[in-house]
Amino acid sequence: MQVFMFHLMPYTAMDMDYGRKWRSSWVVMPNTEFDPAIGHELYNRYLDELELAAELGLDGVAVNEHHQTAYGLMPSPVVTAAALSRRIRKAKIGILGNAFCLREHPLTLAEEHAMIDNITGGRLITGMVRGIGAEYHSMGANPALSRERFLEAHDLVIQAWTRPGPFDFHGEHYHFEYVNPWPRPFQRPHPPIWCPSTGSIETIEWAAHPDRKYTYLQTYSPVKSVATFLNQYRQTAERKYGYTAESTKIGWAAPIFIADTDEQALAIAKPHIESLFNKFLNLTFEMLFPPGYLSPETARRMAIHKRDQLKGDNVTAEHLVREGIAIIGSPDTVRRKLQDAHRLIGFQNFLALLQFGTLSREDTERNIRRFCTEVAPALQQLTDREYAGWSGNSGEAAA
Amino acid sequence: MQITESIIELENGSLRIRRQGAGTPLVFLHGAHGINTWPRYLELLAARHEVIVPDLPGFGRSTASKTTTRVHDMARVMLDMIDTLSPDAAVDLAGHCLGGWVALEMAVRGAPLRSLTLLDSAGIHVDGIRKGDFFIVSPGELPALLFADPQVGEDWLQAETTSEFESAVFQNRQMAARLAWSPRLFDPELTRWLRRVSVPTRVIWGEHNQILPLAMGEALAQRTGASLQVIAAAGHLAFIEQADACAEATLAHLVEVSARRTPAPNASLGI
Repeated sequence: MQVFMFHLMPYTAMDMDYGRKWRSSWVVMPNTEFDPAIGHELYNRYLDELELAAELGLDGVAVNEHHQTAYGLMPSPVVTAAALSRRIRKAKIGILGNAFCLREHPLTLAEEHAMIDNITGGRLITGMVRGIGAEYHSMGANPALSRERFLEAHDLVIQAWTRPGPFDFHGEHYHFEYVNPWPRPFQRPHPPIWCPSTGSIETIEWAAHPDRKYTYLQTYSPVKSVATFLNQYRQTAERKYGYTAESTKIGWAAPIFIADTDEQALAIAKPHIESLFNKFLNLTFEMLFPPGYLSPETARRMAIHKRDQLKGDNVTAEHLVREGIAIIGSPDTVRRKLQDAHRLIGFQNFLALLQFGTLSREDTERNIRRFCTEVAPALQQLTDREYAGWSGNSGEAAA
Repeated sequence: MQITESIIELENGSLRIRRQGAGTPLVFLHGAHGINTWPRYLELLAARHEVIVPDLPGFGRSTASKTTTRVHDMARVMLDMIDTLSPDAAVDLAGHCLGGWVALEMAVRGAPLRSLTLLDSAGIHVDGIRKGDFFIVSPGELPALLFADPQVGEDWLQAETTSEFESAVFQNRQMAARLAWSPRLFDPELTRWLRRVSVPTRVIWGEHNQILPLAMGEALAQRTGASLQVIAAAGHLAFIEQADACAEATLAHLVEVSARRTPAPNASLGI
């Protein structure tokens, strides 16, 4: 298994009482709440944390993109990845993901990713995402065009990386007379492409298509849903497309915290993991699902079923642990839970979110050291031999 | 008065059209939320005119093809519709919000119009005026944002969202976003074309419009050479909230236009 450290780079100094003044830590929280002196400290701290994880033997580190929010300070994960690319000498660097379709010029990202791929000698992983709904409010991109632009931006970027230039490209949304990026990517035919998602059949079917076989990464989900969606990938490959998906094409990302005992770990992590879900990830339904981001029918169903869940200011660490959304405990507990999940689901990629919410520099560093030395080595040994195998039934059955 | 409903097929899909009343045709184009009920404002207009209300392509029960995805496309389909419904006579055209914007796009393209009535209309930008955002608020917050009296808004929104129409609410929102997300509710080019609006125009605006503040109504009236009627105790949906005042302002405009059109008895003698 390939094991990564994933970072969101939250603004830990956020006023946790913001709810009295603003409806969300996204889109509408004024940027006067951001103190650049703290920003300077945080960026450097967070980059140190990722570099430490790479030094301690993880297979890679990963960053992602969010706009105009205290939840994550990486509107351009390319900048973070570039900063890491000269300091991390062996591990992979994942940009998981970049929302190419938010840009009027997806080619700029294609160029930047190719640069990092060249600098690192082919250690870049490119994540392609639509971005969550809030980005469409923040960036003025049209949510109703999001999916078609995502597909078209993807085609443009893949062509830019693989077709000899210059050539012209005319889609519905993007028009170029000269597609001819210098540099071309280091990796042939192009950097591996990953699709992080909180669970979308549409994304799975698209990623698993034989023309693509992209890695699907399940994020922020109860372990039961992780099984459902990752098995869905295998099932789609097998039944819809007639091939057997490799376990390297599926992955899981989850918050992890380790201390001496389960009780200690929960006691330390509790306020911080709760801040992540209740304060940093506090999005309204309309921010998360702007009109057209989902099909009208899906939006209607979500409005019925999900609107109430989103009101929550009350997710508890205990609930997150019970559901297997976060894995918190002693090194033995965390290792065993991940090994158990692997035995059932067989994912060959795991991304550990080792800093979350308000977790301090000291606690994060201890967490990174323990995960990298006491848990990750055991995970890195896991192969398909330890995987119980896919029953061919639906995900629920396997979970 | 009876409301009749029909579906007409045009090149770009099918349109649901509802009609009421008799007289010269008056086409009303709904706003970004679509229109499901038949409000009092339309009843009042139908006392004097044949009121024709299409669901814009992609809204309500009208379909939208891939070639009807921008406001210009809406205008093209509406021009086709007028050619089909009223091939020989010019029509009176009224539009609210997004529908007003579509009406303006038709007017600058030389549509065969007798008059134009713009109710709390989208379409233009005014420097320094920040619009309200009906895409980001929750349904519970909409009445207070859209109406001067939230209670009126709550009742109207509830009446609009019948179970049968519920999925249309999401469909309408998607279509509105597709057309008007960015630039939000306007087209920078349209302003440069507004001097081409030659048809007699009246702008009617809710005094307390929080989506498109009154200053936008003033600017629109000025740029189109229109008269402006401000409606007290009304928000973005003035024609719902103050149906009588809006209908009166609309009908008065149409009467003025007719009077201007009809030559005085001895004026025709000269030629």
